[in-house]
Amino acid sequence: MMRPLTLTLALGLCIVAVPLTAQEASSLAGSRLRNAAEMAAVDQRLGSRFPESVALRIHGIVDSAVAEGLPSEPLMLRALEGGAKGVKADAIYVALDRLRISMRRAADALGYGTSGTDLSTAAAALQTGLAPARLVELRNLRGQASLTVPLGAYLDLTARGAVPERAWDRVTELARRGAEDREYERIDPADLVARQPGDRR
Amino acid sequence: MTDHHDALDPTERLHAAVEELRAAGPPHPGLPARTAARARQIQTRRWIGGSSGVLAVLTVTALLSHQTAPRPGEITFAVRAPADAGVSLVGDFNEWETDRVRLTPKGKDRWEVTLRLPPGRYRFAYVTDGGEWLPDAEAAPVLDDFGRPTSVLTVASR
Repeated sequence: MMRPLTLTLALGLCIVAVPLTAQEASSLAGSRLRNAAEMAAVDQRLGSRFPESVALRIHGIVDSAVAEGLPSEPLMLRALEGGAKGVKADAIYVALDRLRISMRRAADALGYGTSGTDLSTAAAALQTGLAPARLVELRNLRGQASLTVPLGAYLDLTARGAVPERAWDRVTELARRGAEDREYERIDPADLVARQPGDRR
Repeated sequence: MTDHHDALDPTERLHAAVEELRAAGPPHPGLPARTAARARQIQTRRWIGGSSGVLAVLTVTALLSHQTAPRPGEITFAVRAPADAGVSLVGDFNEWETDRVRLTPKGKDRWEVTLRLPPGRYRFAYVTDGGEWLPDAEAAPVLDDFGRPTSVLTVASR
């Protein structure tokens, strides 16, 4: 009595599982191809700017980040910035590791499909002390819209002396009412400089 | 410009000036839109800094001279450096290559260049031919990851 049912179930599972496995394999292959293409571009740019040993070390850091599902471009740009400024290789490695760790924290909060620009801006915000939960809060308020402009506004405001808590409140207030990106540019840091009772550090 | 503008901050003065000119009726089709674009552009970079009077005069000058307004997404980068310095703009948008974007001298000691950039956040700096690195005077003051002053710009979608 049970045998035909078992066979049917097994066949059903095969019918479902085989295409899924094929899709996963195809997706994995596509991802690997993309990564390979990305890394080839990384090699080319690094090779023209750094001595071979430095280029290899940077390549290793970028490769590790890509393997984690992080974008390579923010790391590449940071390396190229260091190279252009004549920074010592060790300082570049430290900066890249720091950025990779911050991007990983940002990706843990926002998701690994987040764009490179959003992720690197979020990483910069985390480096200033913003809590990852705040990133999630902003993501929920902004929906699918990019976080670069509101996070950039927050970073600029605090760099100009705004109290972080008040700057964040202003940014999320705009996000909550679906403000256009250019409205974030109009926030005046002078309005957010003085601490008020209730401001948290 | 009327005197009551003096009580306003630079941004409000700018918008008030544009509104006044718009209310007077456009001398040419499309002029208000070009003016607004120009005003937004100037407001974005704010390279004139705290000189609100000069900012307002610039807007009016742009109106009267019918100059071609920068298109949306165009950013004017400007820096003060000696006339014989030779200045390049370097940043995330040109992979930090020091010879790709040259600034043009404007006046005695000002250099500028206009670029069209997609929305995003960019680190950048100016570098003279003598190898001196200069931050943008109007950008938020930040240190780069190597402990040096640098500049960061966020370009919003328009």
